[in-house]
Amino acid sequence: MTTAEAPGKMVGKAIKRREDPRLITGQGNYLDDIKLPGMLYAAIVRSPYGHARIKNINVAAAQAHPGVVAVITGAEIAKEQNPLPCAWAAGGVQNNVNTPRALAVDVVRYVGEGVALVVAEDRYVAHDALDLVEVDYEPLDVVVDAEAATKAGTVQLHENAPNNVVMHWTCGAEQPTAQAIEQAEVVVKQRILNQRLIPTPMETRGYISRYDSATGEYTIWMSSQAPHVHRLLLTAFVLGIPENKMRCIAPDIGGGFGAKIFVYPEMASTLYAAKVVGHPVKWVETRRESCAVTTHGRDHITDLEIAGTKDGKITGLRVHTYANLGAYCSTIAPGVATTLYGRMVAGVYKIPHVFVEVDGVYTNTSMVDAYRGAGRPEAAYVIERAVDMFAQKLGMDPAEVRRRNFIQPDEFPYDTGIGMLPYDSGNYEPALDKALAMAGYKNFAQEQADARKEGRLLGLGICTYVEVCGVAPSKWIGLAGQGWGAGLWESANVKVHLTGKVVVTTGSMPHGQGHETSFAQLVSDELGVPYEDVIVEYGDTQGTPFGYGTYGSRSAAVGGTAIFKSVSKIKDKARKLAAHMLEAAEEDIIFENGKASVRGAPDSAKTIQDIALQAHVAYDLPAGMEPYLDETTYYDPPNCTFPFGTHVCLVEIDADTGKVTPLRYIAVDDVGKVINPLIVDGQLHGGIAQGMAQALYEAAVYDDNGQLLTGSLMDYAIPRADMVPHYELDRTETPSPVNPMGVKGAGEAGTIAAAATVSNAVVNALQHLGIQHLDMPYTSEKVWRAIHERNGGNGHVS
Amino acid sequence: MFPNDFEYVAPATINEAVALLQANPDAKVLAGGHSLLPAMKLHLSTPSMLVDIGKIPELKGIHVNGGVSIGAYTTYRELETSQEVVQRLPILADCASKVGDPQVRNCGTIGGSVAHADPAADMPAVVLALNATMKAIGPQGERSIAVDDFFVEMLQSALAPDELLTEINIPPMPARMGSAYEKFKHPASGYAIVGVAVMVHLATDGKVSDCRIAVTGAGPKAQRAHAVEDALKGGSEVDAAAQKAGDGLEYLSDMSASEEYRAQLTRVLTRRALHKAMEQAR
Amino acid sequence: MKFSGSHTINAPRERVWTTLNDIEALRTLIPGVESLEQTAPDTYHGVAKIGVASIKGEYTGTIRMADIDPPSSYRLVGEGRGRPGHVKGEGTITLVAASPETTTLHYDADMQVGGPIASVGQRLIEGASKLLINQGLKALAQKAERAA
Repeated sequence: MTTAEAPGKMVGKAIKRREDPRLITGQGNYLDDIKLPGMLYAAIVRSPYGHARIKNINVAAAQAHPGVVAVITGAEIAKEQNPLPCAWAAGGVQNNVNTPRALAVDVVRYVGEGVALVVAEDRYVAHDALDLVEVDYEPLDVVVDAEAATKAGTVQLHENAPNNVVMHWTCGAEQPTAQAIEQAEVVVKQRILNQRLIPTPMETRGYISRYDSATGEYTIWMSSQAPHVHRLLLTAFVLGIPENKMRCIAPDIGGGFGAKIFVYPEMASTLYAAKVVGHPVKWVETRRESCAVTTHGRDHITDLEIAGTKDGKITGLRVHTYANLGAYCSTIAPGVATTLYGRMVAGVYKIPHVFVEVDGVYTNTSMVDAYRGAGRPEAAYVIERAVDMFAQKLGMDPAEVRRRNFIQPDEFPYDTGIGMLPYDSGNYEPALDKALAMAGYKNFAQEQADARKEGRLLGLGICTYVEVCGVAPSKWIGLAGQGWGAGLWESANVKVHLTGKVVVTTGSMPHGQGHETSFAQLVSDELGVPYEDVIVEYGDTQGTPFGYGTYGSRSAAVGGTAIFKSVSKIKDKARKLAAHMLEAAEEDIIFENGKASVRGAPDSAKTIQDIALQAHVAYDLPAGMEPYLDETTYYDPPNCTFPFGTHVCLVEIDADTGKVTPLRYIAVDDVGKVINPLIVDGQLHGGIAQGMAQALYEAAVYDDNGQLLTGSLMDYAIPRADMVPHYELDRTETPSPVNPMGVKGAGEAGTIAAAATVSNAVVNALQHLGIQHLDMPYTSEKVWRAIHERNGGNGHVS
Repeated sequence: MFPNDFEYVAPATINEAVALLQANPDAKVLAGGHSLLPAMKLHLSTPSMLVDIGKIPELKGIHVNGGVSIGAYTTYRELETSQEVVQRLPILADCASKVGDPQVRNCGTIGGSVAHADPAADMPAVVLALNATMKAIGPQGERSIAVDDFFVEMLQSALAPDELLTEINIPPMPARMGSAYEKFKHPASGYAIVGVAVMVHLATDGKVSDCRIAVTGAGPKAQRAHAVEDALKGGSEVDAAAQKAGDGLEYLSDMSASEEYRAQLTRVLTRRALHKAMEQAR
Repeated sequence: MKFSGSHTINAPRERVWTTLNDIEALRTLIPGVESLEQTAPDTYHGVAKIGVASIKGEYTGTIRMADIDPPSSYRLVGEGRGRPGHVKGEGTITLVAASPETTTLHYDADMQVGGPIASVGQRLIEGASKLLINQGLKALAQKAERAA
């Protein structure tokens, strides 16, 4: 790459991420790289039962173990701390939300729930001492299935949640939808499962808590996607102390996929421990803990009905979902299962009548919360499977059915009528056409038929998705009924130092997205300074005014726009100062490519560096002007953004073994304007791998006693490079009218589309056997059985 | 992910290693450690001492002496890349290349794998198909164990706790011999849900004169598929013989595969491996 | 997890029943027993080191004989807790006289495993359980034959 490129040309350029040399050569600064003087180490005694009463905890032996400094129980912490908050009580949560505590008190409700915290001089001692804490449990009945949990007579997890229901939520119009379905020419009904997933970031969670008894201030280093939000929730809700008594610092973060947005018990327990023992306390999650207690994703049981005319027009969609939220309400769990899911089920289609009901349910499992895509992959799965089943029932081409129902380009902004903000912009057909052309779709039916004659099973799946990014306008997300307890704007500060070098401070919190690169590209162009002259800082509540963090593919659309606006303010001030320096009227100053010049006299100009020097030394400023170029923006978007696209996957199924091999994967995405195509492609690659892995491999499995059977990477299959095909990517570009850069968001699109795409491909390969639907993941045995049972049990396909 | 306290010793000679094992009944041999260390980190295994045999020169290396003699501490990577192995025992090189990932193959050893007798490991099937002889040294001296007697039960080989596996000897391969290993991988662990190793020897008339078929992953230990061997030797066609692959084997089920599915995979992989091996032998 | 199977024992049923019906039978049946004592009629408490090869853990637990129907059947109800996790289960042992000198022992067992071993040991639990049950019953059969 050429970094000495003239300013003004960085946006749109596929430059390598400046973070990577540091991160991939082991020079990053992750949480576990941090060692503080006098630091102690914590390990946690965790429940081996899915549901049990704690009759007694005897810490004496552990306490006496050499090297152990303290053993702390839940009852002790409960005297000082409140339970963790639920920050998104969406859908009028019907019970007083049952949230976790730092450590369990009296009852444990899922395997892995913390019972006691051991603090020791080193990690090995802390882990050895875990076995010495004697906990006397009285096992209680267990329920792990969300539907079963709502039935009368089932064990109750929380006294205030009858039938274990967290909330019953609806969107859309019930009666008209029922009528549309009743009167429809064609109706397809199906139960579909969206299985539970374990996020598995490469870096597990970890925290270091420190308490300064002289000032009464806490500092917590955290592997976090949202350090400011964590400070807010921990101080205001858990500790009940002023926000200015805590500093949160997020160093380099090795992935999060949403799971690091939330407030976790270990944040609270280490904060307590640090105060009690008078030393910094570090806790780093083991991989087993990461599987068992970091929040999980998805886990929906959905009954859907899609109705329409014989010529392929969709007239109604009714969806009922049991959303398994686990044993307690995690930080934003109710919002994920309602607004981010239910309000997106209409997808890219004009469906006159839609009705969605969601029952959020407590079960004796790990908490479920946002996981890459957060609600939208579940929505895309429902609508995209439904449309395929509808087409199958009609015997129509699924691409054609999609086309007949698309929202048209001249209909934006488009309101789907189910409480989502209007889709900002879209043009769905070109993306579909491009993807189908790349896939050679017009020849596929013949290829499939020919292959079947040879006993080979080919399948092609299409998904035309839309998602919601850039969350969110505060006045919408905070509305009664949406239940989000704060704003969702973003901050950005831009300073131009005396030397002309630029420091950008963002409230976004990258954990793999490459903000240091793409935000520098943006500023380089807008301010007209060399890319190398811009650095991007983040992750410290002491260094950033406030930040809502990175999730929901919001960093470019919201965080990036805040930066863009701060740069605009800098330019406004620079123009004023340049006018003064050049003795011209401000209206006559043009600021372009880092230079302020007088209209009609291009030689009469000052560079941004000249202006920054003048602003800083302040020898001669216009009357009333403050020194320094330093501008802050708090940007609250007027709308969300709605990226879309078409993904196509071609699979081959080995009929003898049931093994599904993805042969080709084609993705045409429209994420609005692209700042760095290499980063966007990278986000799509990772996202697609995650979505494909849900379709083919991943599933968190609990037994009936609440034991997590997929408790390590020996049993839980995450995608690896040799499990995915080469991706064929392309784009269309429909700028978002919501923000001045026209960006939409790209972090989750791959995941949102891929599971449905692969799913449609697998069912397509098997539909000649009379199969309408199979639930993910398409493990070899499941697929083999599906084939075997429909071939007279001889195990062969003829 | 933190093991219990243990003592670590790295003897320089076989005798020293055997003496350590004899003196410490709770000790375990460390021969690469890619099964043992994870088990220890999960607290499933808590040996008081690890005897690292990686510093004993006699346990390393591949020697051609009519057959092929492989030191127990030979890594998968060495097997995968050794020209002797690639040319004489391609099945072994191919199997080694299918174990784990490059990091595992650079540390894990053939001796460690077979001595551990994991029910889903690859190497047990291949050494069983190749009719290897295992050489072990214990306090009473040296002995040879036929591979058919070596895999006793799940995670149990014929080695006594104070015996050290030193060498795996593969007999000379005659002309018109073919072999192949077919593996159906677990997507998470990479272990074989089922793996089938076959060795066939054809007579001059093209008929199967001898064959050995070994199955791993299906049951509690690597097992011979005698029914298929008998059918082939009795003149059956490959496809018909492979259908018998399920007969007489012990199967287990787990979350990833039922007994019925493992039997199906055994039949399919046996058929595929046999076709490859026959092709090679002709 | 459910297991069932049968063993033939070369001993008359009455003799087998006697062998099966005391604390020594439990010592034989449960591999790796380190201590076992009677705490109530038909109820025993003890410690056992259970596992396969080097994958072993120590469990403390109780086992109770119930529904005793001499000389044909009884039920064993047990649970144990240890560092690797907890095990709970019950099994019925039924003796059928196959001939005056031989007895067929049928067993049906249902076992639940929890804790760390359940979350990381899925691949091996069923095989290991079968192995242990068979080893226990085989030892018991040998004991009955010796006693005869």
